[in-house]
Amino acid sequence: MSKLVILVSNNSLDSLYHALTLSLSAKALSWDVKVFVTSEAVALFLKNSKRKFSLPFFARLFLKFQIKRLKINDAEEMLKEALAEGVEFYVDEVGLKVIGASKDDLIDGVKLSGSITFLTEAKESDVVVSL
Amino acid sequence: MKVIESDDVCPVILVKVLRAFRDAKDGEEIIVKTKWEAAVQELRKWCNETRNEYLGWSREGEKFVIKMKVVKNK
Repeated sequence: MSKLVILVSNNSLDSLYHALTLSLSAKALSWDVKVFVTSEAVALFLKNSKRKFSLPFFARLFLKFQIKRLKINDAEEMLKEALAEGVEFYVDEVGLKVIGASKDDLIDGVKLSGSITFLTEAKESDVVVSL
Repeated sequence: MKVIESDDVCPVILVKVLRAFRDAKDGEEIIVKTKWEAAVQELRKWCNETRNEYLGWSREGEKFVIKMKVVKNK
């Protein structure tokens, strides 16, 4: 089975959307897919009730704008589909702390990771994409 | 025959096709109806990669209708 690893390393939710697109397409080809998120985009992986806390006002405003602009319901739907199809999501603990969240705030199935996990997974992959 | 009528973005359609494929019997047809033209090419390539049979596509008003045949015994 082919394996895809995606690194989402900037603060753009656009990148996360592209990562979800690639993930679902790869799963449709029965590939193994792992997505590493190392930015403020980790906010999308928080339980609904926890999404807004601890973000500075302008960051929250920006996030709200981005969510509206990107029709984030679609992204959320894609995230649900990706999790249901077995895409593995890893979020960076530092990114999580930056937005004032913890492991307990993550939606089910999303794991914490560090750079070693990413590097070892990337080393064993057929395709690595950085967004 | 399984018919998927969806205007979801391409990857979501692909996942729906994958699920239909899992439930389908060998030789069964899967038909996708969508407004997304790129799905025509994406599903042809999906068939090539997964060794299912691409039967072609047509237009039905604003929709693109893509036909595939499931090949389970490869």
